[in-house]
Amino acid sequence: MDWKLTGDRPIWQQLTEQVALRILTGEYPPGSRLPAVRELAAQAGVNPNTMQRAMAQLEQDGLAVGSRTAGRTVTVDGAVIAAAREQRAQEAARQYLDALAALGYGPEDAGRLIEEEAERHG
Amino acid sequence: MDEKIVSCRGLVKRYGKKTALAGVDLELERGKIVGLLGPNGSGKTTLIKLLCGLLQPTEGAVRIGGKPVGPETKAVVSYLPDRMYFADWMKGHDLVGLFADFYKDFDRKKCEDMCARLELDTGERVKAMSKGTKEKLQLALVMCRNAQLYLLDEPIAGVDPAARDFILNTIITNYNEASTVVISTHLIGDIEKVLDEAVFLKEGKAVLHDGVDVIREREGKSVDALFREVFRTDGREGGEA
Amino acid sequence: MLGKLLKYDFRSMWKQFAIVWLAALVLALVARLCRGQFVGVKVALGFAQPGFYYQGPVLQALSGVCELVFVCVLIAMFVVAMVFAVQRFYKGLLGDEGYLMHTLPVKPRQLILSKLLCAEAATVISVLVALASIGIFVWGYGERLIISGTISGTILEALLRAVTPLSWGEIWLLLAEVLVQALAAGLKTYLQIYAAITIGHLFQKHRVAMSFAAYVVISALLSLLRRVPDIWVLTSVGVIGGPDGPTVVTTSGNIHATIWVGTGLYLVLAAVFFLVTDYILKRRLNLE
Repeated sequence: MDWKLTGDRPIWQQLTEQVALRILTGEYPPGSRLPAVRELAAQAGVNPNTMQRAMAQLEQDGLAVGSRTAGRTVTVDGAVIAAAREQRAQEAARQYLDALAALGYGPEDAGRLIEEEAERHG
Repeated sequence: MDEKIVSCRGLVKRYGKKTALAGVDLELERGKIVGLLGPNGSGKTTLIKLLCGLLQPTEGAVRIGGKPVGPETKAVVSYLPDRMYFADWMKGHDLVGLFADFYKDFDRKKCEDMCARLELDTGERVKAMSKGTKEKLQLALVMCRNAQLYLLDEPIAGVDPAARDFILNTIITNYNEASTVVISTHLIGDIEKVLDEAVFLKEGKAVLHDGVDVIREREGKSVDALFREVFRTDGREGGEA
Repeated sequence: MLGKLLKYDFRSMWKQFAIVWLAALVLALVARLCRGQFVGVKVALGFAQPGFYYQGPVLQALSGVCELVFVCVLIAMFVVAMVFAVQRFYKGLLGDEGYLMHTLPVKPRQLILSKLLCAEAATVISVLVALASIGIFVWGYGERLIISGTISGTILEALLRAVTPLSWGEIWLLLAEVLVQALAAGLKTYLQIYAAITIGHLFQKHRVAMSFAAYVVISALLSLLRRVPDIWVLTSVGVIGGPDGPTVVTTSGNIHATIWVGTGLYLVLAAVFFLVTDYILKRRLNLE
């Protein structure tokens, strides 16, 4: 998976989101060891300090546990991961609604559009 | 060790009547990658040369780790100039030997490994190497020191994207975390994501010094976008600075 | 650190000079063999008797060319030595290479000393090579002629006359004193050039022209110095003609003292030039 960084927001926030996504999608399964900060920083081509800050945020969010010296692992607390996934899904729904609103559709159209789309793609 | 790695107070440098630096006050902490950003002629190279002792200030003072610039500070500063500084007669391994002889913090093994990885033939005479090869060799030498301060003057100017990625990767994977890296450039978009802090130099003054993420958060735009805004007026009023 | 600097400066010198030195020695040998060959050929053809130096125009031209090339190489060697000294200092410390040399953890005075010792060594070795190759060239072929031709009517002859009543010990001592003075003069010459180059470097523009100007001004000042009566009396060695040919006279009356005062003067001047160069490199360096 590639790292996508845009200009308008702090880099560390974007890094946090992208590492979190890897945890939510199971690319980094619960309890597994996360790559070292340096390694991740080199992969993403960013400053190690920035990556460090992103990882600290993951810890604060409860998705990662451990310290910089002992190495970090993904949390084994399924509830935390589930909650984070739910939150991410809510954000996606929110963005979808915003996009529809911009086109003049209301929330009442949203369900219909999704059902139609799901049918078309099986 | 809690002394600031770089401290400039009221730094002025004039070349004859031309003022290159018009009073720079700047303090840099250890463990940061700092972008020294400004258009051509804003004083970036002058500032870096003052830090490594190739120029003497007209007014004001420079301190590196609390000490005035001299042999002691040169032993902990690793400088990548904006030009080739090799003597014609030398071969690649002569330079590796020279660095090993003079710099106690030079990691010869690491440098030889890096040269091998880059497929640099250190038995070749420097004179016969291509420009790109020379640049890689010079970067390998400079980054294989465990210095406290790295001063990289326009390391990515005029290189192709692959070389640029290599250079940035070398910088972020090789600098040690207790040290500070200063990268001067006018191509901010390319290096923004490796920076902790940005210093904007405008007409010989440090007009902004902040964390890159602080800038993004406060301005809601990238440092690159902010840079274009800050320096756009130059283009309208008086052409290229 | 000085030792390490010398290591690299000497290697750079070696790369530059090895060919010239070798060429001087080889050409001396070739020139000598050619001449021997010509004489042999001529003798065989009955043109000449051994020891009778008649040469036909072609052979004369050929052997002349050999000698000319040989002399040119000797001259080239000293030009190269001089150019080397200037260029190693200028390019090495004030050109692009200076970016490396001045960011090494060494003191400016170590950089200067290294360049100076290297230039002096190059000169000394060049002199030795020149003597060796002249030796190769003339040995066994009328060296007396050449030596006496060079000596007659010169200071050397006068010196020889002056020392003739002296013991061999005295002669060796004088020779050593003159050699030491020559070394001191070499140091002074190079440091004067270095000082001139660094003074030229103080200017924003036309640095090379300013260096030349600085050199001329310093030389002019030095010639004024020679007019100071005390110094003149202490350091002047003259050759005057007399009924028995030229003789050496010293204004102070003692030739040893005169030589040593002269040597001392060179060393003092060398020290002054060194301090000027060191000060400028330390406090006024501006690599642009």
